[in-house]
Amino acid sequence: MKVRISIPGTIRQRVGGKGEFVTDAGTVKEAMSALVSQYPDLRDYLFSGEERLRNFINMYVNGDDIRTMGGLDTKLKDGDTIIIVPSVAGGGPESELTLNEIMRYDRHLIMPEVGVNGQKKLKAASVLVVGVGGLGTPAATYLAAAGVGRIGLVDFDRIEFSNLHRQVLYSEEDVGKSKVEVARTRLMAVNPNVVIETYPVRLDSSNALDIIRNYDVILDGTDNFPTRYLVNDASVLVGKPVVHSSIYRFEGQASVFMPGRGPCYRCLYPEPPPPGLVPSCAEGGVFGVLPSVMGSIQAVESLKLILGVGEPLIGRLLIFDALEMQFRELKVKKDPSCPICGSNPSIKALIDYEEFCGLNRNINSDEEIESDLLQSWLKEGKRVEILDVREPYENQIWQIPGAKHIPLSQLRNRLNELDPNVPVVAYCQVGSRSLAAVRLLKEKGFGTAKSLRGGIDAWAVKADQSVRGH
Amino acid sequence: MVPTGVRVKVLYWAQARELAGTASDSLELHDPADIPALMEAILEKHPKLAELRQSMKIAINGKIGGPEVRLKEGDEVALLPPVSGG
Repeated sequence: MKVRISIPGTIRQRVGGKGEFVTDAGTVKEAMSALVSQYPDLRDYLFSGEERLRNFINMYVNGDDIRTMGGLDTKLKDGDTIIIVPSVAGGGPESELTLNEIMRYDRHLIMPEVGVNGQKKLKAASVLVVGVGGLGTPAATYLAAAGVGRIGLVDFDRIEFSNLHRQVLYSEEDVGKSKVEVARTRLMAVNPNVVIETYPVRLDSSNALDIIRNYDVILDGTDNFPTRYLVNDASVLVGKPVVHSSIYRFEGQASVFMPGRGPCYRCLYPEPPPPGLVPSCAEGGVFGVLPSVMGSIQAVESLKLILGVGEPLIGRLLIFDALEMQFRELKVKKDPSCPICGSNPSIKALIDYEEFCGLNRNINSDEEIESDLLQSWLKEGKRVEILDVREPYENQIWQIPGAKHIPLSQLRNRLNELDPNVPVVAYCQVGSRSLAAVRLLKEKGFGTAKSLRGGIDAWAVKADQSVRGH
Repeated sequence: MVPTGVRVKVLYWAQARELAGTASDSLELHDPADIPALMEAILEKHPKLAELRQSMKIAINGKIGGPEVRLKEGDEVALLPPVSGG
């Protein structure tokens, strides 16, 4: 068979400047033998050992990668064209791989799922790691080692002694130092080819959008509910995928929230648990190696998203139980009425997430009412407007009979539906959003408004067993 | 006539496991065998779970489901509270 070998510019000087070599060959291997027997300089460049192509050399027959066919044994037909594509182009565009990178990523480059093109995608990609702790340190280490070109690290904390049993990127001598600074030094040592950007700040509603929009993938390794909702909302607003994980003692949860393709964190957990109820690692403890398993899963999912390979963890919540040594998977659906990613979202800008999670509250005694008192008011027939400020999808499950429903997000614009002469008792799930509602109402002239302390949870437990709705 | 119930397996995750003091239960439900009835049975057995009730996700046979789901004999229901650690 007469076939043509197209010689790329970068190696033409090795074949006397020729751009093409024509030979008779039945396979790619035969064609290459003919080429290197005429130009011996090429042998070491193209092959390692006897018959293996070097990892940075890709070959295509009529545009198809020979690794997807028969490799060097790929059969040739008359008139076929073999193209040699070395990935090295010294001084070339940013996404080309350097010799150091070709050697370093060898075990990636020899797999068709990554290969040179995939490795270039990794190099051109960026991942923001929010929280450089138990989850963030293993994740960031693997991302850096894998050659993700730009990695952002957000963490406000300094390294503590109690971090060292699981955050293996840090050493005892680092205690007291900034996490992102130490992490940057270590990650640069792991792989100097990647750019590490540090944000030694607390991610909040004032900076989250600006930081998040600069990255392709957001890896959530935070350790508290307010920041998890913030990362979710900001990422939905700017359309970035979030690779999520959270941990508790011996258990971990992980998922990928991809705007437009699946549910978000709020579809999964519309509302945080009452403050103080679910312990953090600091309060509840954590098995040292557990976050490393979950952080590694986050690194896997981040790399898969960048490479576009495999089945991402979208619409699935992966649960790991280290004690049982068991992985389980739950299917999660997108909630069409989700307040941030649903078809008619009520959250269009970032909110106060501390408030949303019921934290940092200094409550005045005239702002709240106990459920027992409300119950006796109702028994006495006292005139009172009960106001449910939860989102529509929540009040379908449990509600106080006779309540008027205005979600907190719409309250400001619907004040005319309330009578200022009738005392308002607002409630939500746990009493944090209703407190915000009451503060707004007091500001607007509803001086007697009160928030149901503990929300419908407290009401259901203490006052009224008939609260079970629908 | 002896009413026959629907027996379901309940799995407790994370903090629900701690509050329940067990990783799983086998509970029998009578009509209606739905999620609110199951929650009632669970809370009767483990009153401490009341605090978490509204923030937990409920998965029926590996699929997150709402209050409308009817339970069948042998169904596996997982109670999954959010966790925050990182």
